[in-house]
Amino acid sequence: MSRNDSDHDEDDEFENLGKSRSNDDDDDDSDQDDSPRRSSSNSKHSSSKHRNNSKRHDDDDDEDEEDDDDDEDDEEDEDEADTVSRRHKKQKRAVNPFLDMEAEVDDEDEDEEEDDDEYGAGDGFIADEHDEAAEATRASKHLDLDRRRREEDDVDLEEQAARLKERYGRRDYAPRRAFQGQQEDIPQQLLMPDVASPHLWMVRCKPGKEKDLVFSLMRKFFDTEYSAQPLEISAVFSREALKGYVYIECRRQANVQTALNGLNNVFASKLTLVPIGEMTDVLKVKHKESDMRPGTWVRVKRGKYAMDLAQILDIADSGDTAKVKLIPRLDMTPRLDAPLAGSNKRKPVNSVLAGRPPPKLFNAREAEKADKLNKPTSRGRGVFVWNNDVFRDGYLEKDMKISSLITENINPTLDEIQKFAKGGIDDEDGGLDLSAVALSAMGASVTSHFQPGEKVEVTEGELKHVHGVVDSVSSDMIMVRPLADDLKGNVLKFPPTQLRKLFKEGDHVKVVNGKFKDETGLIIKIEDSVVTIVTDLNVKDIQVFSKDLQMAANVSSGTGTIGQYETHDFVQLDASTVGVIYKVERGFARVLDQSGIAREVEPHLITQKRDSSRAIATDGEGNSIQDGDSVRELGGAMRDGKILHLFRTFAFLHNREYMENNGVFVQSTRLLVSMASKSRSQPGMRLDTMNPAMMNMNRGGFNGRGGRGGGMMMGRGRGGRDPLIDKTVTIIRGPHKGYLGIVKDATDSTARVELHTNCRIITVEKAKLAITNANGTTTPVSSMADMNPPSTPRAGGYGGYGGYGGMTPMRSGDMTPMHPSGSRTPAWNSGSRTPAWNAGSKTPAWSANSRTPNPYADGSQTPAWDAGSKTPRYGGSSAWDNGSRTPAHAWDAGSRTPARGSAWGDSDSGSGGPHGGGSGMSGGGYNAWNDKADSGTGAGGFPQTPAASGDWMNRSVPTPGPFGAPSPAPYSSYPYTPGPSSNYDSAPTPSSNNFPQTPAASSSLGSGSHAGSNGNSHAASVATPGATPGASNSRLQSIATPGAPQTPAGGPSAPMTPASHFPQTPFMPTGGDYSGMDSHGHGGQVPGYGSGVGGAGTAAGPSYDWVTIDIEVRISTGKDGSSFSDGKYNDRSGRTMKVPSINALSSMALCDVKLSSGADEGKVVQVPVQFLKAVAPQKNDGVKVLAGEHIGALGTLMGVDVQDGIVSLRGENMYKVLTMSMLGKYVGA
Amino acid sequence: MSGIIPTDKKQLRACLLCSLIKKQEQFFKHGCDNCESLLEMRGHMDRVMDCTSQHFDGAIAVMQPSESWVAKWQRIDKFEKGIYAVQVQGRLPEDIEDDLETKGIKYRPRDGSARD
Repeated sequence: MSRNDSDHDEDDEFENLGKSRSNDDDDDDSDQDDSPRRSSSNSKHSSSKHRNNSKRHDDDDDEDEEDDDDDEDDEEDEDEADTVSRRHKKQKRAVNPFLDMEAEVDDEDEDEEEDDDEYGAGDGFIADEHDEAAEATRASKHLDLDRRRREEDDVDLEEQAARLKERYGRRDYAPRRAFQGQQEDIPQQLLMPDVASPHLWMVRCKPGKEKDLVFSLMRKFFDTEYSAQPLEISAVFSREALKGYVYIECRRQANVQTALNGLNNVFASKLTLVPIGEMTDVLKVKHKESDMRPGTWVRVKRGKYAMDLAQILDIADSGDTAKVKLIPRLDMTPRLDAPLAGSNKRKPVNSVLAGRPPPKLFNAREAEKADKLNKPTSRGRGVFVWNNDVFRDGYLEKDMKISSLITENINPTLDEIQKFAKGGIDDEDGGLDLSAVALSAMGASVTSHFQPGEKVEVTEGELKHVHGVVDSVSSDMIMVRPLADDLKGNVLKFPPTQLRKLFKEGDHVKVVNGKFKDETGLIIKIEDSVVTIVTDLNVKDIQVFSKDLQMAANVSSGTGTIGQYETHDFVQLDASTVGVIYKVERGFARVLDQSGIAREVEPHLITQKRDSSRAIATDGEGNSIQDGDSVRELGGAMRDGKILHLFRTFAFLHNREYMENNGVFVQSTRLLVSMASKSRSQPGMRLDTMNPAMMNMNRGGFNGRGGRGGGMMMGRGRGGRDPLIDKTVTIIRGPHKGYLGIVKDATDSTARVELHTNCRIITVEKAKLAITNANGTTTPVSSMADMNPPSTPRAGGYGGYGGYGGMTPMRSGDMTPMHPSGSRTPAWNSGSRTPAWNAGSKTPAWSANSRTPNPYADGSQTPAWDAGSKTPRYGGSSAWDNGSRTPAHAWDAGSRTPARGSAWGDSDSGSGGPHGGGSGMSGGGYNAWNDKADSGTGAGGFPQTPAASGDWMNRSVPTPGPFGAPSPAPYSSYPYTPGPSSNYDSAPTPSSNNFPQTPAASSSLGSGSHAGSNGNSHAASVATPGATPGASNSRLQSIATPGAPQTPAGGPSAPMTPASHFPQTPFMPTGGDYSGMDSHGHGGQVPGYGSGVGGAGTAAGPSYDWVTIDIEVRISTGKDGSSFSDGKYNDRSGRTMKVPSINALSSMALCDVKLSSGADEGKVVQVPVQFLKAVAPQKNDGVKVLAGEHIGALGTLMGVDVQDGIVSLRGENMYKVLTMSMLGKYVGA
Repeated sequence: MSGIIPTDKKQLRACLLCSLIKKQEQFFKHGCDNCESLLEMRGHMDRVMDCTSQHFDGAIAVMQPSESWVAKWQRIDKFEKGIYAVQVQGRLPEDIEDDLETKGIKYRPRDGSARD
């Protein structure tokens, strides 16, 4: 029964369905009653909806149902009128959703209510009667429903769709009204604000929060819309371009304030009324002409293709993505195991840009090989898909976000564009026409490329092909005076993109932009915008865009310079490579290196510019050649050229008749022959055969430069001067024959001689000169081989020193015949570093060297000099004061240079032997020295610390050895090993050399003997001109003895001398030994804390020149263990208030120290400096620099790094790294 | 109504026809409150992507469209209350433009290229 009922029910419903369908209009009407806001054009609206909905109904079915609830909610709010009926339905639905479906279709409320009634009635009835029956009924109802559904399925789909559309269509959330927008077309002019319009207020807000404010105001508006106090504002807006401002439109200012009440990030106090006239400006929409068109060139911002050129193929309508064409960068390395490759693939793609594969057109076959498991699939006509990428004609086509593309200032180079133009798989038709490509690249052209007066052609628009002359150029427009008759007299405006420069074939132009910038040439071909020109410089065809050209009258010689380098400069590329710039191009220089290889070098890769202007080489015939000489190749192409530069045995030549490398080529000097006649005129001047000694030297293993040193001898060697200069010569021929003069200047063949007679300087050929020797004989300059003894050593030395790099001026060579013995030999040192020289120089090291013909020579850090020269003794003794600073100088008094008086002096006297020896020395002796030195004290290297006196003495014994080789006599007569002071007397001269070197002298003297020797021995008199204070003990002696500086602590103190044992320890804390430590100034710079670092510190006599005011000092026991005031003040700290003058510094000099701690704080005590130690500053302490370049400077210690302190000096921006031992703790104001 | 306000500032898009700003998912769920009858974005992500743009400038909260001069100037005074862009970059796809034309609606691009 109930089943029948339901059957009937259903039938009814179907009937109703039909009815409802036929009653569509009625339905609409009623709908309209319900919701007056629904548009009157509903029929039209629904018809369009019909079409669309039927289309997609199937998909939407579920969705719509789900949405229904939401929609309903929304509509409820939106449409008050609707709500009543709808709420009704909703309630009902809650009762039985199945029926609800029917109800939807149904003809509104009446039927539904019926249903309700029926259902409710039936239900009640059954429930009353029978629970089981009710169950059955329910089951049957379900069955019915299923059946009904099936039937529904059977109904023609279209019909069903139509029905469903009816059912749901009108429930769409979508507005029930038609589009309200542009129904009338009002020109914007009429929309201008007037007095009736609401006001616009500008409010300051926190930048970046504009949009949030707009949003929150909108929300606030909706929240309060139906409240008692709705926001009375009509609109709020912000613009991206107007950061920090929000605009509020309302009638009254008070409304703004209420609206902004309670909002963050807004400054309601800053309220400005926007004048009516400016209101439109605020909303002005500047149309940014999208220059993104298909064909435009762009660059990729980041990722694998970063900065790669790409061409836009298509732009999505939304304007945010574009399809671009790229040259793919594919990893074509075969992947062996695909699964792994798959997992690994991600990483390399994201990895550093540097590792990205090079751009290369896609090749399907390669791809197949590269990844066997994942072959590219062809889509025909050169299109492949591989790894989700589409490749067309080898190019990658990719969709990219426009925001990830650089669209401005692309300036593609022709090279890049050509890559896009050629190389397609089917080059014939698939390749792009270059000119077409170029045309699209013209988009990048800017007004600045155009110059008034240039001929142009219009390339776009109505006036296409019109020719004209540029009249003027503004920021974005170019005024053109057209040439066509009918347009004459007008000035037309064009954007630069619509113009093309017009050139004729044969025009002489200059490239103003791009890779070929500054090239000039003749136009030989014009294809639209691509112009082919032949460059003036190297007659090469280059292709450039016409926009990059300008008419030019002058012929460019290339840019010529790059950075500080210019064409034909001689540059060092790396330690072993030099070259000559033969062409400077944009961004790099073309360099031909010494092995003849041309390379492109960026300026920053050039180490330095070299100067070969003084280099001399010998050509194949032994003639000297130098820069600027004309030479010819001996063999091969027999090219001739001008020498640009010389480098060792290579000559860089230039002849502009040769095209290759701009006419620059490199050739070995041996394969060249000088074309100049001048050198031929001196057949006797075969440089390399001139002097056997020099030959020796060259072979003697003198370093690489030695060879050239020899070669330089006659010429104006690098760093050297003609040996003739400053010589007294006699003119032996010519009109001035017999005149005596001094050579002031000399060239290869001539000399300028200042005559003694009348001070005139005349130029005389060298061949006409003879050198006047000390003994009155003369030697013809022309025959160097016959040079007489005095000059011989010098000659040899010359070679040596020339080879060494010409560090000492000729003059010193002149005065010290020793000099020749080789640049590195002690003898040399001793010679060249005459005391006089010393006096001028402040380098302790050198000084030390001067007195020690031993490995110290290189121990440039020896503080010995310091110690020596500044010993209190020295200061205190007037005898020493006579202008000389070093005790060594004292020796001068006796013999001007130690060398001269010494065994070396023999070489002066004539025999060639010493000389030979000298050069031999330079070859082998030096090494011998090295060996000796190395085998010496463990401190390593030359700068031995003499303090290790045991070693020292050992070493000093062998020292003369090497010397013995060259000149046995003087050295063998050297009694000076640990010799007692008397030895000084007996052989004063050589001792001058050796004295300092023999610590034995002082060490063996011991305390007593030294003191004793003071009176009579020369050494002592040198050493202790005032040794008095220290004479009492050995340590003091070492302080006191100028000789001692080199041998400071002497034997006895050696074990205690920290430097030798703890060279790394600054501040050797062996209390009483302080002054001993002093003597080992760190790096010779500071006596204050002895730290012989890296063996650099050579012991020196203690010196107190570190003492300065306002530093913190500690009072401690003296070196000898003695104490100040019986140790009463030991370990007390204080501030130096007054220090003895530098001249008066001695160990006993008194220094005023203001005690800074203890019971008698503030008391000023006079303490002999020997009891003082500078207190090492801590981090952040104020410091005073005690020695070195910045002596006396104040600063702050920023940090400490082992022995180095990082100091910020006052008044200097940069930090200085200074040895800690050079720093004292500053306690001044 | 609250559905017309973007819930946050992420993934905002502006309708190319009426310049209404909503979140992408809001467009997808509900379509454009003004233009749904024409653009039918609801439920169709591709339509949403075609008819809206994420590149827009400015934000106008229109509270009283009929009152506001700003709305009038922007030609959005007939639209729903909501947040609109001052300028939207991009244009509707051509087929939709054609479609609008057949419906007698003149498309005025919101990218500032419209002149009158």
